[in-house]
Amino acid sequence: MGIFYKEWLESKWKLITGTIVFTVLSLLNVIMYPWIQTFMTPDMARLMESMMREMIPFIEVPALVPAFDSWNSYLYGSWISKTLYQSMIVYIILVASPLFAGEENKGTLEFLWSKPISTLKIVSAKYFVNVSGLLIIALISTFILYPASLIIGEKFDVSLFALGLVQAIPGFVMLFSIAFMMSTLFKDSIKAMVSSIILFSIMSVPSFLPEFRHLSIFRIFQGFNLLANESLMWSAILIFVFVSAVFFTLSYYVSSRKES
Amino acid sequence: MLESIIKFESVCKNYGNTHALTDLTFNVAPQSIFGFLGPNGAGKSTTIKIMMGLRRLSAGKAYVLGNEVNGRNPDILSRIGYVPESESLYSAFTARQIIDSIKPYYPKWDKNLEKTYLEKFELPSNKRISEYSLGMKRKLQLLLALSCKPELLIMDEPTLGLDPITRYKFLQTLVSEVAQGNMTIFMSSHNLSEVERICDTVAFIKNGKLLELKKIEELKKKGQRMRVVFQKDIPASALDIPGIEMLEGSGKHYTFSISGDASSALEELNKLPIFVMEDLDLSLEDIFIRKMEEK
Repeated sequence: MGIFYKEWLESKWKLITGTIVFTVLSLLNVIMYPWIQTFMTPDMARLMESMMREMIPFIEVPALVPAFDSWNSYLYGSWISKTLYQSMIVYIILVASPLFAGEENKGTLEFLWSKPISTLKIVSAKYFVNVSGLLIIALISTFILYPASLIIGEKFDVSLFALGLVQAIPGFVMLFSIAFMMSTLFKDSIKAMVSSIILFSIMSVPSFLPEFRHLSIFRIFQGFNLLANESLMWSAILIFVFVSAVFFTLSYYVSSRKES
Repeated sequence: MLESIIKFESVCKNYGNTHALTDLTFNVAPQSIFGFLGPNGAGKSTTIKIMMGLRRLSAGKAYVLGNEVNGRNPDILSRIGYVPESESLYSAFTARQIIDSIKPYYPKWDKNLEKTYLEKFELPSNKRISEYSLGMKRKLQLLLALSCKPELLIMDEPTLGLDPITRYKFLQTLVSEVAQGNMTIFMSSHNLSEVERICDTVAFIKNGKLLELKKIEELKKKGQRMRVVFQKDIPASALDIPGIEMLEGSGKHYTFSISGDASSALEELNKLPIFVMEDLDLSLEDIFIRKMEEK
């Protein structure tokens, strides 16, 4: 377990900082609600919807009126469908890119490779410790909304948010796996980061094309299907899990072939 | 018991079109202290990284502790202590955290030895590595390499950047460890006096090729270093005698090495008006320079 202990030591501050930042972002949605309620009257929401549809016709504009009408719709729409996944993409790029590339850059990878630890253990420790961190951040920052809702006298729909995470988290893990693989390919964290950003940008292209929008992973993260009382997108979840496994295997393969 | 702890058979290593190692063949006997010498870029670190499995071979075969190596092998690594050239350690960690991270992977890790070295090297185990001096980092690397009770200790420029006192203590520890146990040491170094002090066998490498491998005593027997005072000024060209190398001095005073057949060189020398001629100890540095100047 030594290598997991080492990874935990290296990752704990990222996890603590990430949890604090995500929790603050999450609670901001609660703090902002009274102000939004005052500002976003149904008439104002309708006006904004129509303006957005005219100005950016190629983007699907969410229905704003119902979103501000109910507490859970508002909270789900602004947290799960927006802030959580957008922030998580940034977090994933920042955390995954230096895992191998950063160690190579600092010269500590040679120290690690010269120890009698199997490559699979080294790769697994880096991967699973950081994926666990990602899960912990997503869970804490989402379910902190439960007591926060109670404090302001609103009812929190636990099942809706739990299902939202069930759909989004495998996608986050998939993005993490891609960024993790990029980290094994490069000797420089910045290069690994840039390559992940380019790949994620390419993956976002379907979001801008109406006929391919349903293929966008970012749209699946938003989980509008759950808000419309539809079921979980199991096929997408299975694809996320499969792609994650493929990229984990590739990371292992690249690492085991690599010369330090 | 193994005949050779390390065995290289016609090992080649290429990086693109650059030949880092060419047809490298040598053996390291058990319980010896083997010095691996060569100028910068000679291929010393590449050789060490091949032993550690951190580099793959382009051709040939390499065996370490009786096992063929061509890539990382944790089973072999658990029997090797390694002190790398770079002192890169996890700067945010404490020594205690680094020790605890790696010791589970060494079946022979000796906690008493770990404690002894922490005290002997005066290493504060709860201080962050970022606050350690270069000497402390080197000592920690040595502690990590020795506490696992290795059968083979591989060191790449282990005393680089250390002050004389720390270097002395470092080498003293190595010699006492070898004297006590069944350890073999393979070290590369630019510090020839320390190699001469602790190694029993040395190999010279240049441009990825092995030039010579000998016991230090045998090497020293092969040549002489002499100081000569002439009765009158002699031009350096007068000492252009086959076998005389590394000529230094001018006028009446000269120092030089004699290689190969010393008797014929001395016969020629005796034709010159010599006032005093004395034998000097041939140092490893003299031998090294001569080797590196050989074409």
